[in-house]
Amino acid sequence: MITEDEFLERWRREEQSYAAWGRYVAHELRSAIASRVSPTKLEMFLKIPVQPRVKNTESLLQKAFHRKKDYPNPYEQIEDKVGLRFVVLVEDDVRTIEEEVESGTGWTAQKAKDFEEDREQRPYEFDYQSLHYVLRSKDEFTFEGERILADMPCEVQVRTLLQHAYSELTHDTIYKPSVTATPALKRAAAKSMALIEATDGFFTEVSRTIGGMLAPDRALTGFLAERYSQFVGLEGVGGPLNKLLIDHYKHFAGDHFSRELEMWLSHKPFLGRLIHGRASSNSLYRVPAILLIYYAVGNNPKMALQDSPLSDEELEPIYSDLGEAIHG
Amino acid sequence: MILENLQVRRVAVHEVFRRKADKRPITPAYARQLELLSDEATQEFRARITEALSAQAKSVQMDIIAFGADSHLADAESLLAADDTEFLHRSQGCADRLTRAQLQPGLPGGMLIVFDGTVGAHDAPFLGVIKAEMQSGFQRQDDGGSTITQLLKDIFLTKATRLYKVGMMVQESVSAKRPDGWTALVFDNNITQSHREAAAQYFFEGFLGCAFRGDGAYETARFFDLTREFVARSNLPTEEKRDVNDALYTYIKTEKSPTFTADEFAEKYLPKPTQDLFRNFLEAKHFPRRGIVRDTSRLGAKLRRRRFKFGSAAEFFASPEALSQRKVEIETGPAQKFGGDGDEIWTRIVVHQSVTEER
Repeated sequence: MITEDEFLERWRREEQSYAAWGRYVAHELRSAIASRVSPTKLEMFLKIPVQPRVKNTESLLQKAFHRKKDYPNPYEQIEDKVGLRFVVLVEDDVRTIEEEVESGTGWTAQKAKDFEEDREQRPYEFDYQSLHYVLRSKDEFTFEGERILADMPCEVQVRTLLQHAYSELTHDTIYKPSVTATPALKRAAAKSMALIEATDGFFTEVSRTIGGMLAPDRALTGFLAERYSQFVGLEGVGGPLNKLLIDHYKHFAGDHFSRELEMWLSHKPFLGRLIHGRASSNSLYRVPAILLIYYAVGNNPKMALQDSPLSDEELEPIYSDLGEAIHG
Repeated sequence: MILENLQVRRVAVHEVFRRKADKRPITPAYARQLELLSDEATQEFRARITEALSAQAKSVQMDIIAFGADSHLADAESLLAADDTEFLHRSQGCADRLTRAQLQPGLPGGMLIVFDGTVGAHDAPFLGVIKAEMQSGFQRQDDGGSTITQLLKDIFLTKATRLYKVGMMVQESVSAKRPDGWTALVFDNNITQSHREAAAQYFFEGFLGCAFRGDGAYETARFFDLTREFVARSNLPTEEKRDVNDALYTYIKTEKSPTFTADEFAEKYLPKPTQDLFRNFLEAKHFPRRGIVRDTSRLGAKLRRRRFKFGSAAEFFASPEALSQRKVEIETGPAQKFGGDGDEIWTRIVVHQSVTEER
């Protein structure tokens, strides 16, 4: 069996590789998830920033030799030498990340813990819930100047925000030998976990309902963002103003909006230049919804004015560009 | 549609003066340099022009009748080709011509703004002129602690009052021979008043060399037919359709102002959401949005009698006056309302008169 010194010497040699391997996994997963959830921003989707963490040497040694784990081959068997954690809002989001983990090409992924499987196997227990994967590098390669060896493990945890809260509360305490978990403490923890699972279920229900209602808006938002960047030649800026304007003007977008907008814009190529020219000094011209507003004003100048969230001063140049009088 | 994408390039501002009692023309005060407008000012300036010229009853497309060597159109043509120095210099000619056109001493002086640029999706060059009368107004100013109200005396082109006249010569296509390829648009608040000769004619005719178009009768008749077609095809409830038709007869026949626009009619008589549909319908039919000279000479018979059909079994004629004065009442509703059975729609016609003849 490996001695503490030998263990330490190997760890000193490979620690930087592990750190780089963690960064590689984080980078790959972040970009895969970002394109998956777009136009939602990754920072909105992930509730806590993802930071690969390398186990500190002391706790690594303690885990390998002193925590009654009896690893015959501790260096190989400790799979969380580097790890990262994704925290998301609801269980559906956990599954989204799972799919990206499973379909990643830079590693082999093995599921180590799945809360849904735990629920099936131990339906009467309410305990720590999380989804754990161990990813192992396939072949040797270099990342950020560091050599990544084949078969290096990296632990990936995926949780909901509520599961994360439970884990923060209990992990450092009731699972540590120093704490004697009394039946009352265990009972209180189990009750919290049961409540969290129920709440997660309700969250999922609410989020699916809202998602269903927002789907058409999302599609419109995505379409406008894409048209904006092509037509204006700038990346549009999303956010509350864009949302507000799309929400107000969306009823001007009929069933065949994408085709109709296309045709309408093809007769007004100058709008791209005008929007581009004002975008630098006026945020209204940086939101993709501006295309929808022009379309609404061009086709329905009277109705587009009614209850508009924009002031007459803001609308005037738009009417003017289209040769319309704002107040006829 | 012609007024979309309006871009202003060069602007020269001259001042013309009212003739005194001796009726002698007074030499204008010429611009010394081209104006340098801020982005904000350009935007406002542009908005004044679109506001004035788009779809207003007082904005009309006109025929260009003077296009010889000393005409405004000839000036427009040479100004578009001029470099900046020449533009400043030659635009003085416009101020001189306006001064000559203002024969009566009653006509006010003001600023003459001569500007050029491009308009429309295909960037057609244009030369514009604005005669803006001087106004006064007040301004509140924070003067280091105390706020004071100041009288501003010589301001012009304010938003609400429209104390200005606009003429635009747009070169829609290049042609060797004036006035081919040119379109003239004129806005004047005074244009629809019955004494239009005095207040407006010197500007559009004496100065710009334009005249009302001769196709008023044709366009008026077209407007009448298209509106009826639109109403028949619209989703408006039957009662409202009849109201709009009633209004159309009155609007065409009895209103007195010499010009009208489809927009003006829509705003008066159509519900808001229908206004936009009407506009789009007329646009699809290429009906002009600017003022039309009201001329009912082609509509004669149509305006005298309105004809109602009830399936193939019955027809009924009435004069628009009898209908609007309620000497003839037409009422529709479910059969029950008229003593029948069920919800089938029936019509009741009450004529306040006995039958005098049958043909």
